[in-house]
Amino acid sequence: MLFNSLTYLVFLAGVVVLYWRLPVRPRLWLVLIASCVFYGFWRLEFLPLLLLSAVMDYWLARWIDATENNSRRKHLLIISIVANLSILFFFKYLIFFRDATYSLAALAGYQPGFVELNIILPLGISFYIFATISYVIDVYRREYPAERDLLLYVCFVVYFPHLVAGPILRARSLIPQLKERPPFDLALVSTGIARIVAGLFLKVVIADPIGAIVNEGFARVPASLTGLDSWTLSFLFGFQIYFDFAAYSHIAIGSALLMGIVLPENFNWPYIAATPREFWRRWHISLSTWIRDYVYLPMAGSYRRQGNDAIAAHASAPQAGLPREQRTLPLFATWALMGLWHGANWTFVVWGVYHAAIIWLHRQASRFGLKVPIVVAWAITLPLMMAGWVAFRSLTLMQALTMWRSMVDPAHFRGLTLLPAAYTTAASTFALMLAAAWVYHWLMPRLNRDGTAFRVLALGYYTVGFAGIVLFLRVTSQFIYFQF
Amino acid sequence: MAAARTTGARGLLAIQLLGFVLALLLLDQARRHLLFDFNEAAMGDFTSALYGAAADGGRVHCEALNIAPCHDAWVQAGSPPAIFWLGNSQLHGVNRMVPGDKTAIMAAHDALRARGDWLVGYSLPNISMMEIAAVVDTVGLDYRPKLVVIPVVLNGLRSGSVRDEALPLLRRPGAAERLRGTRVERSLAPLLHDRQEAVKVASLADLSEDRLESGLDRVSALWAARPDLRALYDYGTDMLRHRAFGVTAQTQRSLINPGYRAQMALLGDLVSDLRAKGIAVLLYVPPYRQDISGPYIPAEYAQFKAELGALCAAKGARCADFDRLVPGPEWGLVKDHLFGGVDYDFMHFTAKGHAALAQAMVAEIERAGP
Repeated sequence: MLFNSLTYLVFLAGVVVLYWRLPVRPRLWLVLIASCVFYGFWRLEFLPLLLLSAVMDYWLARWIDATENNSRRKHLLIISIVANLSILFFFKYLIFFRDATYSLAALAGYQPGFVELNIILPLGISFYIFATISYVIDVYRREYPAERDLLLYVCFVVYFPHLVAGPILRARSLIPQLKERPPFDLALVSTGIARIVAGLFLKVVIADPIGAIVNEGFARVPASLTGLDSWTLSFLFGFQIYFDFAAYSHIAIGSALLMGIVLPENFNWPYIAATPREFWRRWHISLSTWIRDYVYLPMAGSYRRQGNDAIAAHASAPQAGLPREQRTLPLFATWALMGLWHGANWTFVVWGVYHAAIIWLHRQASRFGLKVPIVVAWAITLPLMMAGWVAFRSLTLMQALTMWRSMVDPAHFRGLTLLPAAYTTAASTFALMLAAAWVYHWLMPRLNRDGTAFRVLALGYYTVGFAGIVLFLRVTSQFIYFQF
Repeated sequence: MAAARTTGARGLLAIQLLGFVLALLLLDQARRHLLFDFNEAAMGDFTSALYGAAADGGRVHCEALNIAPCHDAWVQAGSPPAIFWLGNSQLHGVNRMVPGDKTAIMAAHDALRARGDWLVGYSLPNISMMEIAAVVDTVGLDYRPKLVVIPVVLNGLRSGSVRDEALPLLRRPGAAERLRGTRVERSLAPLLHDRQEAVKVASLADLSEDRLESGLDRVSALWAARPDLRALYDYGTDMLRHRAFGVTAQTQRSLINPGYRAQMALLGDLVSDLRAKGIAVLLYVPPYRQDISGPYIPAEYAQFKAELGALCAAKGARCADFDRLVPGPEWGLVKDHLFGGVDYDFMHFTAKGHAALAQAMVAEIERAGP
């Protein structure tokens, strides 16, 4: 089921009404059934995989929790991680690695028989697999006790607002909330509606129309694009993916708020970041922190120096890691994995490595203690982040490299060949984004002191917001992150 | 928007509800007072789309995304080797149309039928060179054509993409196999496979969405008018942009750039592929209004025609220049429905213009003698 559909709005209204009428235990059953319906509306046949993965990790985590023998605990953890990653590998990466193997074999002069594979990627698989892996690792680290209630645990995994595109939740942030029966809170409901309105508006009024222009531009022969075209497309796709994914997160958070459940924020105005590091503290926060906690820190953490018990060492001194100069390899490895998480294509790996390179360069520059005015730092950071999206959106490496070349080669800068709407949309979206940041960070805190001015502004905002949603609400495209 | 400290939860909910009601009232007013015929506006005032049948009743001119009617007529006629003509809205737009008018495709079909040829034509508004390549390779070859006729519009060489709605053509069964090994494959191959295919299969969500949409269409005039209101929004933003930047139909923009070069190269590849299959190709410069200054820069236009001639010579295609064929009075006008005023239409003309184009085309085809 897609958030940007009438079906979802009707479904959500029904679930919320029932949710507040039921006591705790039946509520959990409602969450489970509603989540299965939500997922099954896409494809019923992948529901067993989702439930099987959840149940497997439930039992493995309980086993780990009940075992005192460290070696056995580690073996159980490895079984869980390998099983989860195998599921992910089969559905998401098998074809990619098969093609890579065939290409290598062809380079070596072999022509192996080509096996035709038709594997459909289950919706949200990367998100729920990561959620269950983090749960088992947390139990292994004894940072979170194994959940004894199977129903509660399965509800944590399949809870529909976060199921298919995050935020990637930790057990500790959702399970305690599902256990409780908080009183009905009108403030949470009105905030939830506000978040859903914001999300739907961003998706159907802003992201989808930009997406049509982006699709048209990226479908062109890459060599035909001038430097200004490529920059325009990189900014446009940067806006599209931000508004699209932030929209999903708004609706997910808003839907949960209607049930009195608070999900963590996933975005915090990433395009006002003044450094690459700050950008990643503001962009897809749940994935960035997941990768940091479960991939980067263990790789760059203290256990390498101490040699054996990695995770215990990291837990006791998370800041004590490898010397700065030895963190480069973990940085690049982590980002290559980050890229690969997004999709089984070399373009995503290159996108990840590009960001690793930017962060590494920033680290090197920081060592000189150079102080740059924040506006200048922002004016450097934003285009670098936008240029990275070229690799993310390109269908082939050659397309990305050709567009990147045009962006830096002065000989390619003459002319504008995209549709006129591309340039005006990029410019107006950029201006609107800056205006929105000013309203949110400067104007709103001041208006809060004046109820009448706030109410007038809010009424204008909701009138425009609802008009845009009523006008444009239709399933023209999925959310971009559904494909990951 | 976070709740203000002075506006409690109840207040915010009231504002949200009021905003929703105001939004509906606003849209309903737009529906009642601002809507007009967008199909007519898109092609200029008094210009209508005409896809139709030949004198013997079979469909011979179809929209490029609606393949079946013309294909069925061709099959009923015994699937003779065909002449396949493909172009933009100039081929289906008829200015000041009256009953009985024919497009150039319909008129040329009737003229050529007498000598035993079957001419079939497809057209798509603003068709790009990539779309032409896609339609020729996936639809055109179904007709086992002996001649493919393509108008080469300078303005059409600006864009090199395939619209979302045209992608199903490339994903027709057998399309990938047909393109394999051709020169245009490298341009079209990325479009043959859908990156998001996994989530685009028919599902319960699709069924329920269709039911809800059609149910609301039945009970709410406002909901049913949403496509027109969206078109009004798009039209308004376009007109606003034109006004803001002083853009008119006569505003000249440089067109010869890397995009143009890539599209010409793609056209060359398409011609080579067709010639390699033994299919004759006729490229022509379409009619272009001559009595007033137009959007093309004269030097670029001349260069384009010279390059097209060189391409024909190099690839073994025939070339024709029809740009002076239609006199000024036979061309249409475009009305600005938002700010008022009219502008020239450099693309669409009357049935007389279509008749002149058909006559010139038939003469050229007879000279080509495929």
